[in-house]
Amino acid sequence: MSRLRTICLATAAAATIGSMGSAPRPAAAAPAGAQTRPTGGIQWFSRLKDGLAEARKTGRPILFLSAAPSCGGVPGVW
Amino acid sequence: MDRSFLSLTPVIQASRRFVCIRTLTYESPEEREFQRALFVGRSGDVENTTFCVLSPDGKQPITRAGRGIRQIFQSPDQMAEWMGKAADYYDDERKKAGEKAAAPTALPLSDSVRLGLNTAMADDLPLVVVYGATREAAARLEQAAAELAWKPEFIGKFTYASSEKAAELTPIDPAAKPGLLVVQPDKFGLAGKVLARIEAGASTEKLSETLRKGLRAYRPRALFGWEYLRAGQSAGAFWETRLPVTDFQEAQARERTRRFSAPPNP
Repeated sequence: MSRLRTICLATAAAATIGSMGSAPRPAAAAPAGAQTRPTGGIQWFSRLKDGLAEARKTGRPILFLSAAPSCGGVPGVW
Repeated sequence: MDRSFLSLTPVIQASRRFVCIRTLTYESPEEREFQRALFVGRSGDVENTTFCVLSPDGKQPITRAGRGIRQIFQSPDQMAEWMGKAADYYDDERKKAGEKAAAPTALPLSDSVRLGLNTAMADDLPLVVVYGATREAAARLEQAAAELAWKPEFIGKFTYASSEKAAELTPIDPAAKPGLLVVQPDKFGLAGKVLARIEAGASTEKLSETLRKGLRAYRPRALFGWEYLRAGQSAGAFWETRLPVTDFQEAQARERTRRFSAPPNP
């Protein structure tokens, strides 16, 4: 995650410079239903109290991560 | 999306024996204190990311805590192998205590529809919104959705949020009617559109079919990395955190974006 964070911050800076005076290139539309992972990813609890309660109830260890869903202020990206 | 460890099959499979908690940095004072107790950066405060594995009571770290997974594990395969051994250890502990194996059953909700939209976009997943006319109605629908969320067919394929407040649904559908909605986040996770909907009180089979319909209609994100950030900055998409950003690099990057996105002085 830290390596990705570095990449994220570097691209955020580059994007700031690169955006000045030019519009983003239009993206090709992805096909509907094109899920990248047919088996599903990690199912995260987003609220700490909910996850802690489930861990106590089940006796399972906890994979804990805190992350910000924005990069350089742009939302929608880890 | 993180493709280095957490998106790889061995780690995902290993995660099914854990309770996985991913809090949102800078969005909750209580969660910030929990994060802060585990790890602080050189600034003496929380950074954007913190990773750790904890005992089931949430009190004992069983790995070092760090800013990233790479600080703790060498590779996804090594991480998955270690996770398997840790899960075995706690399985044995439960057996010794005479306790039966149990799995998570609660619906893993985001704290709000707004946070759910942003998280869904970041994960490139559809958002399921449980919308009840009252808190009690929402709770009943949450229970019905929870029975499906952990099934192999649906686990890890959705982000979830719940509300009984019409105002929370405004960025998705200002005229939304109560029910279960499968939502496509917009380009930057600030709004969304309904892909599938079923009224509250529907049968389990109808709820399942609604989730399937939403998955079929969902369009994965089109932009990544540089292109995505550049498009977001150009569109003026900006995420206001609830708490101050204490990660120095991220705070600087936010200021650059804010200056760039700000309208020119008259």
